[in-house]
Amino acid sequence: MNRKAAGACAFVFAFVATIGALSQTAPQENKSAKPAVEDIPSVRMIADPYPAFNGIAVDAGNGLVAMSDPNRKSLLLYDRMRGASRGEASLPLRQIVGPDTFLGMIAGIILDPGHQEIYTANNDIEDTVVVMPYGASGDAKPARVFSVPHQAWGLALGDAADQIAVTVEVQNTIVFYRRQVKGVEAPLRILRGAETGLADPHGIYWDELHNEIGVANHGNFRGVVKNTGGGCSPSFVVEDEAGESRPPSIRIFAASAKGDAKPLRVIQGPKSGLDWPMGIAYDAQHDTIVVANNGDSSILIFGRNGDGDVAPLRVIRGDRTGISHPMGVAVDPQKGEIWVSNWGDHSALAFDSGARGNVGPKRIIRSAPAGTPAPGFGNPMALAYDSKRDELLVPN
Amino acid sequence: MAFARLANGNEGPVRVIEGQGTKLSRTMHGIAYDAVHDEIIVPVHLAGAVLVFRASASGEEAPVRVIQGPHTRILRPETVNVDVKNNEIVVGEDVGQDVLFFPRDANGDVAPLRMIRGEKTGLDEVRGVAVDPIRNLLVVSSRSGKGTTGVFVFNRSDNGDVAPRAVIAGPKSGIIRIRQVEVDPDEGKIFVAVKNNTESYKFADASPSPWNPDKPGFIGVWDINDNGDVPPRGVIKGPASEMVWPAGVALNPGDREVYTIDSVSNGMYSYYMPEFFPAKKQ
Repeated sequence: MNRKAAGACAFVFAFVATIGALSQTAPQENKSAKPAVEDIPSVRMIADPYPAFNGIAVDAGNGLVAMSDPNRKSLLLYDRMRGASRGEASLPLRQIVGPDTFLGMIAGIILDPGHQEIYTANNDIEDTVVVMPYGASGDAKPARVFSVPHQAWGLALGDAADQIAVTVEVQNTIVFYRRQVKGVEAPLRILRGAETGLADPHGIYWDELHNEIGVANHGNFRGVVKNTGGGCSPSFVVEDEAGESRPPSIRIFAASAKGDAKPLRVIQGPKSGLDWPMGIAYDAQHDTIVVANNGDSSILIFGRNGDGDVAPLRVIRGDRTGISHPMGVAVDPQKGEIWVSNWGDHSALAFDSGARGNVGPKRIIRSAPAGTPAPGFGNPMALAYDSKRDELLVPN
Repeated sequence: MAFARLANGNEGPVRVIEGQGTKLSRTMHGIAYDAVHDEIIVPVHLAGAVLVFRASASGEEAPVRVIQGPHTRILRPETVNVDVKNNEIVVGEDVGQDVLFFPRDANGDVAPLRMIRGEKTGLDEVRGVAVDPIRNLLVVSSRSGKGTTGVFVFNRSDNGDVAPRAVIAGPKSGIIRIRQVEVDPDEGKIFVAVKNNTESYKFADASPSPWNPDKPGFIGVWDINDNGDVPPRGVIKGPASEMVWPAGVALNPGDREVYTIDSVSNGMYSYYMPEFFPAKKQ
């Protein structure tokens, strides 16, 4: 087998720094043959050389749509009016990427045109939120970085409160910081506890009009983890509750809620159709809540006042929609559009905000040519070999 | 996600088990395949659960068994493996700092058969577990900020607060951060994903970004009888390997291949390593 030839994949992302000398000495003789020690290429590899969209945000005033890309660890900003109608990859206005950016396994993203800042949450490993200047491009240094608890996912800005809200999966928590937070700083308040019903929260929106926040809740629960740190470090003090796999939900809280506050309303139950709800947004024009329903590749639109086991008012789903494992949603109030970021196929889609059913998007932004496969790895940590099917199994 | 072994390049999975009905979460750090019973075992860290699926499952298919509940003593299951010879599922926990053993066919709120937990064990954040059924050994990878990060070897039937019979750790081992482990019992070898990633909350320090790791990770191979601060007997690493922070390791002795998955490049790599499997003749 020609290792060199097989391993020379042209599209590989070059990360590797220097290495030390390989160990040549075994500590003791072994009866079996010694394994070799080599710096060798792989014979095969699976990797996606293109950006994969996770979070999405729209700045209508400046005509921007921005996506977080945990695959190549970058932020991409596009002209929101330019689509890739012929299936080609879209050219971003700017891509922020490189070793100085602090960008890693990023998830939620916010555009703050008022303060000309871009926020994105490093979900795993780095445990930070990176704040980039609006005009950043290439290997740019962040304007600020602040520490957040491990597994931060969703972000929302409250303009009136001048605060940023951060959801934390493992701690079943929403943590609020002052908007200008920098470095390691204690949160202003924390929403956490049995009454909140928070369990593996993901997307979050801040509805300034009604002074509410809405959270997409996966339902995975294993005790209410106490935060004994300053809101920045993982603090795994687990109480005695047993693990539970609760139904997913959308939980609406007062924007000023803190501690073990009850939600104002909860959308939960079989009629809701919720299935791994990820990104979430409020559409003021229709007074609706828009949900990226990752599990069944759909967009669910609920009435803002929905409560209990209610069905969505509208659903965008089907083969014409191009929706594929959506991660993020954003609303463009100027154009009356819903933007959807697809994890499944390197694309972001713009729909009329009143769309329903199996309808095609108005425009498509692509990070790769149409039809490009998407392996879909997001910070993978383990694998196994299925000898019967000759397959490699990866939890994501 | 299941990928064809011979897939190469930018290829998608051949099937995916996903959706709320599966009880999986979007964050899982362990997996095992039971070749005898043709099942997949997955720990769900965020729900304190261990799920067992038909290995051919696809889409939003429910698990065939779920180990979850107060009697399980499961806190946060990080990693899992299966010991088909002794008919047990082995669960490693980071928060629990322990290893739990369940009957392979356990279902529901079932108490563990045994549990290795306590000060003497030296275990902290358990990242990987594997069993050598020939030598009756349990191999555990554990990461610690205050104690020892390394490979801990116990007797398979150990129970309670017991000291390991061997620990592979120290500067010569090259282990800084550690993840999944596998054992090739035929060769008596331990394969370890030595991730060596850096994390930092000190903002005056150099960037904690994954773009700038100070110590690239590697796949290290140790003898099952190694003990102490010993270098690996075999290594896959370096620029040609394209590894930065390898987090997972899996073995295919039949094809003499080693697999890893890298959490920085989001890439899965296959290495042809006949040197590692000398007993398997081509």
